[in-house]
Amino acid sequence: MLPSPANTGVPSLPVPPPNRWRASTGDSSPRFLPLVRLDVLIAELRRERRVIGPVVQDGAIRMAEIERAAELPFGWTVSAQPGSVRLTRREAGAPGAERAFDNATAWSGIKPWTFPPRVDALSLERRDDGSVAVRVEAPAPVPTAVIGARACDLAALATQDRVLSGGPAIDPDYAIRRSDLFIVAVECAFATSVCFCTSMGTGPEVSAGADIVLAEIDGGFVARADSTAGRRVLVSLALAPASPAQLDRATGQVAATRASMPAAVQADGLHDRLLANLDHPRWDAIAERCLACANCTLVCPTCFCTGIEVGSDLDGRESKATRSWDSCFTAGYAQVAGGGSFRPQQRDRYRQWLTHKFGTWWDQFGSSGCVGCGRCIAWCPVGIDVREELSIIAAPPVSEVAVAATPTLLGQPLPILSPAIEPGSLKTDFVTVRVAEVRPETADTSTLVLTTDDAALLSARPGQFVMVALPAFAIPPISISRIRPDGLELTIRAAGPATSTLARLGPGAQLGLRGPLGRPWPIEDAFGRDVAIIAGGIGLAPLRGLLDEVLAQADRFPSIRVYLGARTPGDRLFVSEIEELTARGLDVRLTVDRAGPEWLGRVGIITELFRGAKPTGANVTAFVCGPERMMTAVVDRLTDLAVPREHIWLTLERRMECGVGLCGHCQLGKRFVCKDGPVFSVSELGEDLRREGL
Amino acid sequence: MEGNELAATPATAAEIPWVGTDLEPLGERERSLLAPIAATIEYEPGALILREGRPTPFLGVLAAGRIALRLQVPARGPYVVVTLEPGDVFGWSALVPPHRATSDAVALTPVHVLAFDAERLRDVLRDDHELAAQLLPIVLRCLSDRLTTSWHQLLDLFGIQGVDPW
Repeated sequence: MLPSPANTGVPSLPVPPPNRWRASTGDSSPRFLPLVRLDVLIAELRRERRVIGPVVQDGAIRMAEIERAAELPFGWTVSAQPGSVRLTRREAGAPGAERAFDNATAWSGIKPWTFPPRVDALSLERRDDGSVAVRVEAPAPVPTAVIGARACDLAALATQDRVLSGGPAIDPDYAIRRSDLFIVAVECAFATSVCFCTSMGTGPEVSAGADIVLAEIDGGFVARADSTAGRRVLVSLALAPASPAQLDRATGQVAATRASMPAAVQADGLHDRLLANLDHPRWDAIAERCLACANCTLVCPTCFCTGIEVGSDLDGRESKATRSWDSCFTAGYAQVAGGGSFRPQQRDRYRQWLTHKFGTWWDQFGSSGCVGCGRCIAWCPVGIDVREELSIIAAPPVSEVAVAATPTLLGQPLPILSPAIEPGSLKTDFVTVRVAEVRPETADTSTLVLTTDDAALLSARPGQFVMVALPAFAIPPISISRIRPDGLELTIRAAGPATSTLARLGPGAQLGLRGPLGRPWPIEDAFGRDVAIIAGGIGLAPLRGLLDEVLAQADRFPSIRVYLGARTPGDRLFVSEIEELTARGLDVRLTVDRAGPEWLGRVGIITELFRGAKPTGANVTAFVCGPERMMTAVVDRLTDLAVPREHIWLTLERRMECGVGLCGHCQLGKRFVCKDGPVFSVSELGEDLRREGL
Repeated sequence: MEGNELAATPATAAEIPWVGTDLEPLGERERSLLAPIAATIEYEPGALILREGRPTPFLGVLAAGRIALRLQVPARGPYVVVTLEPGDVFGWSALVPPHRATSDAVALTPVHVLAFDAERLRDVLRDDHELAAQLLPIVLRCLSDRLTTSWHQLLDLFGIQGVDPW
């Protein structure tokens, strides 16, 4: 039982949108579609499209391909509670017994058709001559019509449009599937107890995104066209105009549905309240209950995270990469090279999901990630109710309670983007490159010198990275360690199956590269300033290209210093290069974490290199790369030395699978590290830098 | 004292290069209190300056050269924990009971040390609390740095921690 507005003091709901049933006149005025002619509408749609509609399946209402109206869930009603969904058939003659859609949204939603759980992503082939080909798979477009989409479904579609088609990168698979979708929406005449679209400003009225909108009343439907394509279909059915009484019924019905939904979530200010409570004890309490089963993310119509799996035949000649839905609740979701995970605890994962959905989604995509459909509540096996959790973790302050909600985007129709396939806007193509030379650096690390004439790869900037595809192996992100006139160098540490294989490649081998990706080091920030390049372990690789460039423009910088840390003397990278630069006068300071008696150089952690330094760093720009714990220690030392935080640049490691902000894995607060970074200034990161489990 | 140390010469406050060392924050009066118990000592590469477990003869400031603090690990040989650079204080155990060195200190290069005799230093600090108030934070800072370094080494940040996904 939800608290009523009276005893929680939740303010008034967003204002309902204007009445669309009364807005159109003449030829465009709403029509009446008698129930017996629903099959005619379906047949008309089926002339050019497959039709998806709600059906009773596996004890629930789900979307499935249908051929005729009789397959729709006539007479069924649904009750939903936290952790429970029950279907019951209305008795013959009871109210609603003749209705097809009087049972809330289908639990599967539309997502499985626009963004299927599993799609072919790549095919990778190693031919007899050793050459490698990586091909991006594209689905054949299947014109599709959906009947029975609800306001929340349309809001979810608009939300996924913004994520998958609205950014600098467009998901080509989504764009194709989404491009020819015809939608017959139905306004809800009934809300379950988990529905809260009114709180999120997405329903129950259908405001935007549909071609045809239906209101189901006794004996048939009031139908209006909301698009040219929809008008064409309705005109072809030659329907009579809806009567004023029928329009009244359509209008009154959805108004009653709105009125039946209590204020559940105070969306105004939720973003700030949620992000101000990242340390709330309630997160631990949820983690005690949450099973990390990922049901909530799988039923959520806006969740968009995916993972790439590479499957191979036995000899590794042919392999396929499939992309499947992933969930931020899984243990491996935030795992990175070396095996660590950035969200080791269950509370971290739940917090990620809820704060993204209701908070940082705004920062990234300009809207809430929640449409108020309630699926995550109903399908949570332990009945965790996000409305309740939000009211505890992000409780509105008492003073706000009496104030009417200020106008926000929430009460307005969500803008629908028109997704279009824009070839080239997303770097999804892999380019085959050749290994010209392999330079062993340490026992487990090698540098691959790759040749290519691909203009995009050759335009790479220091700090950027590439996705590296080898048939039969997972596709790791690898930072570029040098940009050459005829190619790139990648320095790879053998830590897992893919990187071990890459590090063992010989000259002549081929591999696929996608990139360059990510934000480069902002070398211009250091113009006129003292440069400090600070690298720990393999962290020198992404800084090596920067060092090349800094040295090439040395007269722009009053001084250049390099600080290096390595695990042991044997783990130092680019030893002869560094020795040569030192011999030519470059100020390089080096320390190792541990050493035997034969090592006469420095031993101690990298911050020891700054011992005794004076706080005279105001004119320093520092570029830092290494394990995050090392970087935070370095940032502390640099801050002690008066280096301004906006001039300390780090490159962060997170799990990256797509590299273009579409798969979700590398999220850090309001950022996708792959797209918005991986290079950030310390002032940009703020408190997110040190917050555990974000 | 062990090893092949070359010479120990007394120093005056004016001769002591305080600037740029961990002792730089000390006031003029405090410097003059320490000068009478100071000596400069030179070591050749390989000299054992402190020996783990033996009484610590002095609180030192490395004036020039590089010193390795080493632990002997049976069957593994000597293990370098940290190296010291010019300006670094070492031999803090001269002030902390039981006044025994917690590692070997070995000269990796020709080394100059400014040494404050342990027993006399303890006497001076007992008698002059202002000097103690100025010197002890410097020694504690040195200890804190050693501790932080050890913690970070314990984390083995550059090592591989688990199963790599790639």
